[in-house]
Amino acid sequence: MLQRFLNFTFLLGLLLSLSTCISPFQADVPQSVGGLFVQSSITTKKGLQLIQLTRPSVFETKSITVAVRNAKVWVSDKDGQRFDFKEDTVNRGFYLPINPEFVAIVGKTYRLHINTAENESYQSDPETITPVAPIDRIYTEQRFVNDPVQGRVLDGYNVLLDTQDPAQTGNYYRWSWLHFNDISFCRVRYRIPLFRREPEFISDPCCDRPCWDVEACTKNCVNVMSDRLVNGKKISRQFISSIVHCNKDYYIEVQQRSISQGAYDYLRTVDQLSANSGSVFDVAPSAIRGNIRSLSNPEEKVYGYFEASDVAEVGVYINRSNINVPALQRCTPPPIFVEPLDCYPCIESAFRTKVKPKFWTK
Amino acid sequence: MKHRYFKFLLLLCVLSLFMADLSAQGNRPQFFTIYGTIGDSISGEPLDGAAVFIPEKKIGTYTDKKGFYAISVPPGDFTIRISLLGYNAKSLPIKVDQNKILDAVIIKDQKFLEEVTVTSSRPEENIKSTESGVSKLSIRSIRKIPAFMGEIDVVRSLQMLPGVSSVGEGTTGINVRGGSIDQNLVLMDDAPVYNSSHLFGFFSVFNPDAVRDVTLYRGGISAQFAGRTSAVLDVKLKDPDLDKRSIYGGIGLVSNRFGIEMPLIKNKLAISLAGRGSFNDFLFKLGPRSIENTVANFYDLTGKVLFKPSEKTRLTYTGYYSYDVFKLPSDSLSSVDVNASSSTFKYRTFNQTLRFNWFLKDKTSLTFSAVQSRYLANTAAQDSSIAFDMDSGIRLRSLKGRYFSETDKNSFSFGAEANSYVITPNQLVPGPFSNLRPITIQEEFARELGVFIEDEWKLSKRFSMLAGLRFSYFQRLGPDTIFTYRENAIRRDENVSETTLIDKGESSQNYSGVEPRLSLKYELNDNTSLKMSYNRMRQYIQLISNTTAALPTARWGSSDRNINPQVADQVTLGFFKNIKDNKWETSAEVYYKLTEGFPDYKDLADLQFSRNLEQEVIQGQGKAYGLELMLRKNTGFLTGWLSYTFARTLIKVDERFEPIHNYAGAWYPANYDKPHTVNAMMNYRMSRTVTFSANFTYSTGRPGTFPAGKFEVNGNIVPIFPDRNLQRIPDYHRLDLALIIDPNPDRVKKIQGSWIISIYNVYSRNNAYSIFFDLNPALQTNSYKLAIFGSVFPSLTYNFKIGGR
Repeated sequence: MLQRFLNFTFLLGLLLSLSTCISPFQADVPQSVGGLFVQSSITTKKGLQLIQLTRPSVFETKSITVAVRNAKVWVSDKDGQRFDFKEDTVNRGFYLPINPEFVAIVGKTYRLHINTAENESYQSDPETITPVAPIDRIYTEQRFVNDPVQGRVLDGYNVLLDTQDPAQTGNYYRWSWLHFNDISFCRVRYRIPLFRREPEFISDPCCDRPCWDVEACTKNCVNVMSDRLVNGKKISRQFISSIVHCNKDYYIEVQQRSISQGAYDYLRTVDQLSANSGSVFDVAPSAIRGNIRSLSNPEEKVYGYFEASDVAEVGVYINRSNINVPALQRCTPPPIFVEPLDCYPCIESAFRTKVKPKFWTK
Repeated sequence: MKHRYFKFLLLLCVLSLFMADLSAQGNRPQFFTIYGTIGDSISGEPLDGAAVFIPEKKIGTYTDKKGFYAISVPPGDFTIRISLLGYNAKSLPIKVDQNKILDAVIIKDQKFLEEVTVTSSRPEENIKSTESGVSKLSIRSIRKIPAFMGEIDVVRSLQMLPGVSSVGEGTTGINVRGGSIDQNLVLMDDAPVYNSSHLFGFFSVFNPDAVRDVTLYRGGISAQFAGRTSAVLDVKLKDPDLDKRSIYGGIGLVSNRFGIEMPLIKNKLAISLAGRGSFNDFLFKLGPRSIENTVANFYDLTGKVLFKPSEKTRLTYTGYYSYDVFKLPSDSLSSVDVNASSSTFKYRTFNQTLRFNWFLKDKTSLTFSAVQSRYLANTAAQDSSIAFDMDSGIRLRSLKGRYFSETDKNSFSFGAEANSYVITPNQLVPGPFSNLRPITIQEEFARELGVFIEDEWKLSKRFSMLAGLRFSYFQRLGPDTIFTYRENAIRRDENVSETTLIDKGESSQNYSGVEPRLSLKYELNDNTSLKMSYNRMRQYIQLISNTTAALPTARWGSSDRNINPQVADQVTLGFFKNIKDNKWETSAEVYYKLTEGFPDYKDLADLQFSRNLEQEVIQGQGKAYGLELMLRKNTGFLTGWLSYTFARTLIKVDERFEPIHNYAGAWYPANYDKPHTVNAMMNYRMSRTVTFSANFTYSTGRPGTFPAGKFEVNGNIVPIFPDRNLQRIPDYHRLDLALIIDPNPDRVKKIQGSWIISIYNVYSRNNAYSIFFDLNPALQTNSYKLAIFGSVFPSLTYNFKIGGR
């Protein structure tokens, strides 16, 4: 983390410091990629089991991620127990446990198995779940910007975390978060009205409320740490998320996961590679070493890691409604046109739920 | 001019006749020796290659590199005539009745002034000298190379020579014949310089006001130099003037310079002090608001004291201090979710050299020097939770002695060198409220001893040989913890089979070896020669860096039980031909170099905080080969050179490192592998006061690794890099122009001012500094070219000098 930060700072310094000039460049990159990418994580908490299968795509903005559909996916433990997963009905390529109560158990060792519709089979190395320290505190720090009209104004919040690292070394952490947003409109459609060219949004209210949208981090979400530099001390002000200000309290669930050294190395490689921008201060690219391989074709490249972790979880409301400093409102605008007669069901999926969030109190 | 050449050749001819005569002469009556030094009347600098001739006896000699000469003559009254190309000849009467010292200065020929610009002091030097691959640039010729932002840069100007390249504009150091930057021994008055760049590599650390000349040895490296596998860059500083006081300086876009030179005891003791500093934050203040608080400054101070108690002894002290600071403003980072808001990078060099020369008798001298070199780098962040202060550095203390003796046929020397190193890897000290743990990595202590013997032997008029042998011994000292790993296992903590603790001062590992050096020259005729050289070089300390361009904060590491020294063997073949009375010099050299123990690093190497570097370093093989062609015009109103270089540099690590290295088992190009380079440099003296100069450079783009595909992990777009350095960024080319206006070439006015107008990147080419990849949906394309010097940079520099001769 520190190393990356240092390299990054150098890069940034250079980028900013000179009269830089950036222009498009046509790089000679291949037009097809083979292999399989597996993002998979099982945990000790309900609702935090997810497996996603996709094909790596061409390195272009326009390229489409192709989901691997209709695969047989299951997790096995050392005792020979098998936990089957099935594909999500809404989100292609996402696989969820058939038994929604499935949770992994600390100390146990698990393996991931995949059989695709094309009859290719894959298997992961075993991963053992180690216990994780509890979260001591989740808190926020206000973030201010200089607005040309209002001067110094509140713009948003940094969500931070404190925890106590255990005395022994070799603890690896990964942090993630989920934001549950109770919604009134379950569908947004476009319509082009008569005599007009621009489409307008039509929102259909939810037929069954309450209904929550589940938002997870979508950009630069690898948040991992090794206790090498802090072993046995308090980990404080660990950055979790950055949220904008809006006059509505914000519900967030923060997960602190114990991961294996292999998972840590994998995530760090992935993070370093995605930060690898081609600058002269980049390090040479590393190979992506996952723990999943193909049984049917050993030559096939399989990217991804089967992560099995213990989770400590805390859900909090971040106070955004009771602020006594000047602030910029950065709420999502309400729908333009509401269809009061139509309604749309709240369909259970990886990103929407009718089930009340664990720490929801309002 | 023709006339002058004719005289010069005549002199040579007479001289060679005399040499033949001398060897034939038997037991003649008593002879006396006349000796002394010949210097430049203005700078007082010793002149190399001046002819000292006694017409009455038809005998003569040339001065050596220190301006020293000695002639044996029978008793009598004679005239001594001193001449050198570009200077007015001078005749002095002398009565010889005993051994005599005769020092003299000669005055530059104003008609000739500035016409001779390039390197060799004797035009046929490239034919006659035994070694190949040696280039010398005087500061006067460096000043004529158009400079970026008007900042005369010793290191950058070397990149105009064949075989010298860098990773990119504004990166640290130079790469010589396929060597990495730490494989060059950079010496400033005998003291090694561990980082030759200011501000990450935009400018070099050498103050042009203080430098006398720069010699780059890339082929035939003398046995007196050792410790690096690639090249030696020997920067010599000017001696202070023992006679006249002068003040000089300059005002430029980047830095301002000021210097003073004054005799304290006339003809005995003199001091010079030259300072340079950038106090304008490198123009950040003019930039956008987000960067206006960036601090980026440097300064350096160069001082030299010369004490000459007698004609036969000289004592000099050189002190050098440089300081760089780079600080980012606080708000530039908060927008990108980095946990720290501001950080500062500082680095400094402090070098000292004490050197004593003793001229025992004619052409025999003893030199002793004591050197201390220190380099310190510091990184700091102020944010309370992760506040830290991190230091790394290296300190060298060295003693050297060298005996040199020259006779008609032999130049013989031998010497010894003892070095002591203390390397401080990164030491992290957390701030008062910081969550970080302090990190202390054991300092590395090491010793290096070397003895050498060398002889340049002129076997015949046409054939000469420079043979040298060096023996080096390296000892890594305790305290040290040595891990023994299971055989052929990947070096990881879990594969350690035995741990050995070495106490302070005890030897933990030693290495030794011979380093033969050989250069041969055969002259096919007076204008043509063939040369061959072979070098073996051993390197015991290296820079630990795995970024494309090295960071100034990278740590150094020494060889130990698990990290072997680097050993390089280089063979060079050269063909040299001068045409039209040495007016044109041409040369062609080919080289092949193989390095064992070339450092590479494992994937995700932790170089900053590793306590066991052998777990991060993978030693592989380096292979470099190339062809260097050069055409140079040395005299006339138009001078300059044109060179073409073909060079390849490849690295390979063993297949068994496949689990920790993404491209093991195959050769891949080094980061600075640039196969084709063309350099053209031209100076045109338009009038006595105005010189126009231009340079053009073209090179193949450096290698890069472009992604073959992508996938997304937790919102991170992860590029797939299947190989290493097999693609290339676009080719590089650039034209620079400069106009040097010296309104007062005769140096008669009290204040001599001169102007340098330079234009860097005249046709404003958007040369790629790097190619980067970013999948931003708002943009049309996914790969971008970043150019940092992507436009034309004009600049104006004013230099002045008050006093002096």
